[in-house]
Amino acid sequence: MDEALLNRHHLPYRICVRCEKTTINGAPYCMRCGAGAHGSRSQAPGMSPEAPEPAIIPMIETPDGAPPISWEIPENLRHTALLKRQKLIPSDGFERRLASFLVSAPTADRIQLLSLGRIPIEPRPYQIDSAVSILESMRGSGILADEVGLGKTIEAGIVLKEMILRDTIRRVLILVPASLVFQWKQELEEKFDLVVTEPVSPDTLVEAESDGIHLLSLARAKSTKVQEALLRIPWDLVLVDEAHALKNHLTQSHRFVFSLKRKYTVLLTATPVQNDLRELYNLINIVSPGFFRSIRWFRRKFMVDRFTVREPEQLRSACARVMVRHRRADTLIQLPPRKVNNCVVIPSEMESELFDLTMELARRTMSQMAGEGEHTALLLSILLKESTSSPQALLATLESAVLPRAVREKESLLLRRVIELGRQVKVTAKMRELVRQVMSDPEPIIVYTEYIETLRTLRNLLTEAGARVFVYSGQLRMREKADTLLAFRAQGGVLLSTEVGGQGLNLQHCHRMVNFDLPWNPMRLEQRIGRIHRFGQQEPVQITNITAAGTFEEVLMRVLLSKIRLFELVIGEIDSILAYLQDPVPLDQRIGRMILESPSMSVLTERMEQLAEEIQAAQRAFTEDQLISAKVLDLPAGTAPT
Amino acid sequence: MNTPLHYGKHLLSLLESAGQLSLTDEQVNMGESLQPWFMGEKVVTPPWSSPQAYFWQRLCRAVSEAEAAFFRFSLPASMWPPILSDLEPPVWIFWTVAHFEAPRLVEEAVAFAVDATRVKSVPLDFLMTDIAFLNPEKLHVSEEQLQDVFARLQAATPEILAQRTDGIRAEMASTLKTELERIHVYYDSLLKRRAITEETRFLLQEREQLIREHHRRLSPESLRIHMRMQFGLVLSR
Repeated sequence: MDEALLNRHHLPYRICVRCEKTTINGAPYCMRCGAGAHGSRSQAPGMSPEAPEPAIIPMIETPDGAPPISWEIPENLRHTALLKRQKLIPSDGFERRLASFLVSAPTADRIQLLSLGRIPIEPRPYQIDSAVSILESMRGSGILADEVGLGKTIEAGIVLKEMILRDTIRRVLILVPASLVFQWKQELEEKFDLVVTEPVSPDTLVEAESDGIHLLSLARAKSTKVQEALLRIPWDLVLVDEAHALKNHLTQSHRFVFSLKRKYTVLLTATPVQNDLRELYNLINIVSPGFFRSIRWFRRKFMVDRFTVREPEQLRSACARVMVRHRRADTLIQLPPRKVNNCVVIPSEMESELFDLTMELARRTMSQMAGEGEHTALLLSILLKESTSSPQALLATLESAVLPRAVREKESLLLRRVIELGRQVKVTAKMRELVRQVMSDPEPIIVYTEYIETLRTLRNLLTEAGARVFVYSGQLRMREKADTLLAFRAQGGVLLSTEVGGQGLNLQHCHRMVNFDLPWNPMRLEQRIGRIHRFGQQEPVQITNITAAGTFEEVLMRVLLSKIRLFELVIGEIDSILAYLQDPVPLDQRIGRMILESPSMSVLTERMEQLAEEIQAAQRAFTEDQLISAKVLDLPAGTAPT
Repeated sequence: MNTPLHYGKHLLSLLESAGQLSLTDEQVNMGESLQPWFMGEKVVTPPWSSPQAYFWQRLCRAVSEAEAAFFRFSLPASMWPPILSDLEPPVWIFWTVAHFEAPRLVEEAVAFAVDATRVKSVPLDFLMTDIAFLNPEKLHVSEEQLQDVFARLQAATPEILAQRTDGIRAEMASTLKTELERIHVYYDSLLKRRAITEETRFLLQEREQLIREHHRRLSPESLRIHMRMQFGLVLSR
């Protein structure tokens, strides 16, 4: 697909000649990197760190005692003023320019966010209000304590982008639970066009003395060497997600964050109060030390006992000076319901044998390669997931000789049988079910799979069945992706997508989706659902999960995902719940280990049930904490906050 | 004085007269040139109640990118604005945003009028009522002349902003005082009647660091001002 094709389709996007990402067609500069339409830097003032650099007149000498003043003069103003061949510019152009300035001009009591016109997303009004509160009335430090699913990350992103655009901050430290590192990086890069680095070693952190946004898991940040390095650096902004981890002032996490040198602090949590009102005191004390004078004063003034507030109105009004909190009921976000259809198909004998033998091969490899580290476990997890996705995906991996040589030699018979079976099974029961589901309803549908080989096979099958198929994967270039989405939006049919399409896309015109295979990370499943179950969706959302009976995928679906009611959770809720788990190992890795180390399906079922109970306990703790926080901080629903 | 929302509605009607959009009830039908600024949307419902919204920000940005940044006009002597009566033409007018790099975001739009000898601040919308009388002119501006105007403007800015600067510095000083008091109350309560141990040494060190950080952030001397010029014009009689 080329530029000419993009133009022929009158797409609202063009490809930036510098960063090669899609940007708004017709806009004089790239919304992501700031390059002009022909690659030159535009002159828009204060665009972004890598964006146009307007003429900056350095600090001028000011009279004694006056603050230093720097000037930024747009190059196009200077250029137009000095034009020798002048065109007469009519006054109506000036009137539009002046009127637009008068709409957006800041006043003493109203700032205008620079970031809003420069990010590729449209924040909700309450998200903008939260960011303005942090930036303005809270002087850059505060707690974002919205109820779960309202987009605290977006609010934090606006604060971050705004401060960077205004050059208020240069050195940023973001601390998040290990399970959210990837998600944060992705959101900041895609939704806010920010460059985020994940320091690999304490040495890199020393280099962090140079400016930038540094993203780390809290667990890693607390390790001795990293901690030492972090404590040395004077940070401009420290941002902590799931900050209830800092609720206890006696913990290392609390002490560590409290001791960081920082100008501004932003904490994110949906549950600022959990077991004890003192936790609220502790969190606020990180943001604004001494805000409540002392714990004795706080107890005397606000606490009857650990859970009971003495002066609720006064406490709420005091908290509102350092904390922004929105409830779902205040935001008027009402999404249509989700309908979940778990479809279990009976595999053919040959398919069952293929699953069983692949499992056997994986377990034998695991026992032979014990002590070889996470690499083998990761490889085998992929192999197992591919076996439930499609024989084609499994073969692509097996035939590329990824298994260790020793295993290939020792298990050559078993390996050969798996490959032989994989070649014989052309169409699986799951594939037949998918074709049936797709063809039974003309409404547009999104089908997710993790593997490109599965995607290709499904494309061929569905095309043969007469469906209009669009393919969306990481192999497409940006403009091809944009074109595919626009075509799917306009023409309907089936959008076959890999995980690439699970993130950051708005597909709310469609209300049907199929999980052809299940990612082991629940957050990925949630991201997939979030593409269609979002603001703007009018219809009930129908989610179909296709699994084959007798496979670990079915156990995962039946025992784990159903028991924790993943498909009923509010978007964003699973992140908070998983942050409550004691075990810091990411959930997908734990599931992988569990499958590989269980000698039989019954043992696997038992272990999966234990894991489900563990998550349910985390879920209960989270719900309880939400209720406590709501009791302490919220007015009854429908009451205007003071 | 008109509100930003009032000017927002006025801007929409100006863009409608220029054929860049059309208005129906509560909705705006975007013309082709504006659609790309709204992710390709053809029909948009503006947030009529809030000027602090994505819609207005994008619209203003689209207009400021599309229109010129510098204009040249003349006004008949009889229409010369009273507010400029003490200045000799040609008068240069610049619309700017002053960003006070204080601990909280403080910004203010300021319009400056400059002639050969004087600089003064003028109301942002003072030309709005005279627009019909502005005649486009060909006025030559030399590099030296422009430099000279900018130099006069920069030299006069500290004095023009002095009152606002003093107010912000006073606010910073008072915040610093309150915050330092809080820190002292808090640590005094922790350190009261405690023997010197490693724990108390740690607390003392922590207190010193917090005090340093607060001075770094809130001290009135740390105030900086960044002026962002938006657009300007030269006006003759």
